[in-house]
Amino acid sequence: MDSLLAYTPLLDPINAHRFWWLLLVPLAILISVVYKALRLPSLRRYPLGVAIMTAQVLGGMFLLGAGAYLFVVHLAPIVLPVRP
Amino acid sequence: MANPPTYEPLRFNPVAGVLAFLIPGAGHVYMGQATRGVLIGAGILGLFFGGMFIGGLSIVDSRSPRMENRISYYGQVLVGPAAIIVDRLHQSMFKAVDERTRTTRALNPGEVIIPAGDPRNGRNVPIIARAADGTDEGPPYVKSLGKVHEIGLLYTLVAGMLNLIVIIDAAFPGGRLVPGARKATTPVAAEAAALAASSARGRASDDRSEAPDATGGPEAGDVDVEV
Repeated sequence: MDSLLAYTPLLDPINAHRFWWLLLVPLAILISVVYKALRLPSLRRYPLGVAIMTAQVLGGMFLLGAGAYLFVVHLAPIVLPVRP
Repeated sequence: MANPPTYEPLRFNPVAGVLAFLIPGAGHVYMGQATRGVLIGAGILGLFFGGMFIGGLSIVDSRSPRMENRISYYGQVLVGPAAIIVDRLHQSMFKAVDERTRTTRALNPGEVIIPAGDPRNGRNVPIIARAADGTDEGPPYVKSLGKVHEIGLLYTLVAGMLNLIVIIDAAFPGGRLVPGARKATTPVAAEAAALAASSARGRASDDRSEAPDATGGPEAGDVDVEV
């Protein structure tokens, strides 16, 4: 409770160690906001472009994470078995 | 291929480039693309201050003992004066000289800064001293660690890298396809054709988002595109 009382935004870090991965969602959204504002010739379909790019970034990160998990947990022990 | 694709001449707009560095998005506002500039500015400053909100002030530290912070500062500084001011405030208000090690560092618990000119300070720079017994002095901020630190750094670094792209786009407008005679045949070509048609309608005529088809430019498929 004391740490909550002493918390000062922009000076102290937030306590997000358990759900740090959720912070990747606003990161992907903000990257898409800037990139699509820069690249789209017309901003008429801007919200849709931002939504699609955000989904692509998050999907890509999820697939990379899943691939790394499969490799490290399942494939690597087969290729390089740990010997006692 | 009937005609080779032609492009808008690449122009050089140094004022827009400088404005884009000073205030993210201001270069595009200067070029008459107000909505685009506001979106860019909101996104980049949102990333930068979002990173500080997540990781705290220790994220922006050009003289940090952590090498990743010192290297990251070169990326963060591309956000512009905002990053430079934050770092200067960090160095001047929250750090002082440790007389024992002769290094500049942030405070640890139980320490205070004695400013230059104070009778207890014999030097002309702020120094670190032990807090008087009984006073509950502590560090002025908490340093971030682990994943929170990494994510905060990532936010601010991405903000700087994106602003570099924005600065280049503002300083060198043009270089886009202009309408030709051949139809685009692939999705990539169609997108390039739409881009060229938009460019032909004039990039400087304020925001292309307001009425993209109002001037009746050529259709997306009627442009000479080489893919």
